[in-house]
Amino acid sequence: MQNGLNKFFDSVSPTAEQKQRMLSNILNHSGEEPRMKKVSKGMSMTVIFAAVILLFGGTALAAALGSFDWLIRRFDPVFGNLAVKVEAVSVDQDIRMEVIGARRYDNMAVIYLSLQDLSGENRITEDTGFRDGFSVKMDIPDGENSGMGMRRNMLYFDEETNTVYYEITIDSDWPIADPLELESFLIHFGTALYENEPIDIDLSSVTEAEAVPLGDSYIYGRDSSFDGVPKPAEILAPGFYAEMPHGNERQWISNVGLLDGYLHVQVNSLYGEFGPGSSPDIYLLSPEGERVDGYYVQMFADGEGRIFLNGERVSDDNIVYRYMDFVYPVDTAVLDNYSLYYSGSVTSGAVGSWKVSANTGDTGKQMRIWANTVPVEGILLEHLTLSPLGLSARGSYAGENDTGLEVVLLTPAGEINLGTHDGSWDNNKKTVNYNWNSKSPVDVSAVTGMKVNGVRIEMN
Amino acid sequence: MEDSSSRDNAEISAIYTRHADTVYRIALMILKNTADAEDVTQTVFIKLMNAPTRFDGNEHVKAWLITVTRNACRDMAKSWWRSKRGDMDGVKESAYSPQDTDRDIWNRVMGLHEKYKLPVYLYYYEGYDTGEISRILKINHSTVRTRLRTARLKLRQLLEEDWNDAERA
Repeated sequence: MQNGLNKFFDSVSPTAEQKQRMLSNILNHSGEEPRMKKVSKGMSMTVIFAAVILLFGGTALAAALGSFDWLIRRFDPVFGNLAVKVEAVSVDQDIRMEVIGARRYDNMAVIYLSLQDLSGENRITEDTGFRDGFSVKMDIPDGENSGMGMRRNMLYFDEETNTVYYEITIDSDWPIADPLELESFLIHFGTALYENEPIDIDLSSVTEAEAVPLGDSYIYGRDSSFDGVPKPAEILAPGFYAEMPHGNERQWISNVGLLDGYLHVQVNSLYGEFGPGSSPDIYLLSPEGERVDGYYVQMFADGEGRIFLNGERVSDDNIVYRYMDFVYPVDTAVLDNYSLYYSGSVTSGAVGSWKVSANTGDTGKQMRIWANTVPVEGILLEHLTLSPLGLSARGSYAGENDTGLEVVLLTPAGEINLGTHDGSWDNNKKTVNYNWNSKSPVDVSAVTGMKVNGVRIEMN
Repeated sequence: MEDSSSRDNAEISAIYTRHADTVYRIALMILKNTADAEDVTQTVFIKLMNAPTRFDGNEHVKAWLITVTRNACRDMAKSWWRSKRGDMDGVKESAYSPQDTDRDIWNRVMGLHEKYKLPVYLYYYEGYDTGEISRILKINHSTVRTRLRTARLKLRQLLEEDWNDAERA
């Protein structure tokens, strides 16, 4: 199957003529797009409070007020008025996670949360987050899949205490459990960048190398600029040749050599949640200082060295190694004129268990629920819930589901555009779980109706 | 990579050389015609020229391009202009002329829903793992796995027989 897929994807590449035409159009574009304007808001309570913090220090103030009151006063976050105090803490791997405040509304929630490194190693950075380790407990009917979306807005990074504060909004396919239970099994600390780092290999000493055959089935990631270069029949045999410039032991140069008259450079990466990026940028600099990119072939191996070509990689569960075999179209007789370089990144993080439960109170009066069936462009919206955080809907459809649904809320003060839906759908069961997140709290009591792709729905 | 609100032509050209194929393929898979795929490719790189985003290396640029391409395709798919553009099959053939045996593959792969096509492309062709796909497409990790599993079944049923025949020939 893989070979056919690669042939297919290769076949949908642009022609050289198309690429040149598109590039010309891009470069001839004026490039003048509307810029975001900064809006002066005048001196708010937040500004005044920030000035107070400068005088007295944030940590001391937080201790005096309690973290919830401190955070709300300090940052005046968008959905801050909706949240209730939680101040519940979970610690693992010397990382302290505090859920400072939160509120759940049926399928949506807002959470104010901090992460602090207690180890003294200052592992928390402005880029720290949960990646895909984060989840909230949902009331999921038997036989249904879970689905969840999360938006994270960093409020503040305190270098002194190595703490980051976030406003997180959640939308889920099914009602969020009450009390709210949230957890993460990993925390991503940050990413170190490496730009144009020389790789300490003398290319003049590179010789013919041991190879392994590729067979018919392989992943082929080169672009059309290599159309004149024959596809390789074999790649380098994996081993250990040199360290990468980042020095991280989870990725190394596994071999360098000449095959069929071409220079091959092979990089091996250990699979895992953290470590060097899986797509390192390995390139040559010519004697004139020009960058020469290679194309690459990929293969995978399990812990016992069994090699899986990409088409045999039916899941990531048994994969331990990923090999990228780069091939460069340069004259191998003058390799001593070239230098090898690397650009890429290395992520760091911790795997553990951070879990907090919080009762966020009764929110029934701040929600409106419709159980009527509303048909919109072939989709039957069967259960709509409007809360201060936005709108969610469950429904069903017949045929194909490729219609974007845009929602506008109607109020006496004007329209509130919630944009196009997010969420998920199930092509087998023909069901949808959609949501529309508001950028600011919705006054639910003021909403008189809504338009879904122009179809007006009155609200009684 | 530097924080840039106006990347110069040399930088855009370098990024374009590396990633134009990826952007174009995704656009063509979603929109199913070459004219729209070209438009989206150009739109995405023009956005890149002025994007204030600070990129954390080549991997970040590529992930950004994939996300912006998908969004640009959705915008175009909704636009009035596209709906008036005419029969897409006619346009498709102007630049993509599959052989008779490949035409069937084209029809069947392109017939998959976008939610299957993109994970399949990113997993099998670009070599991303499911965690990376989850982050790029902003969908749950388990959802990515489920979609890949479903897509594999669909493709195996649809294509394996054809390809086995072709590869034996």
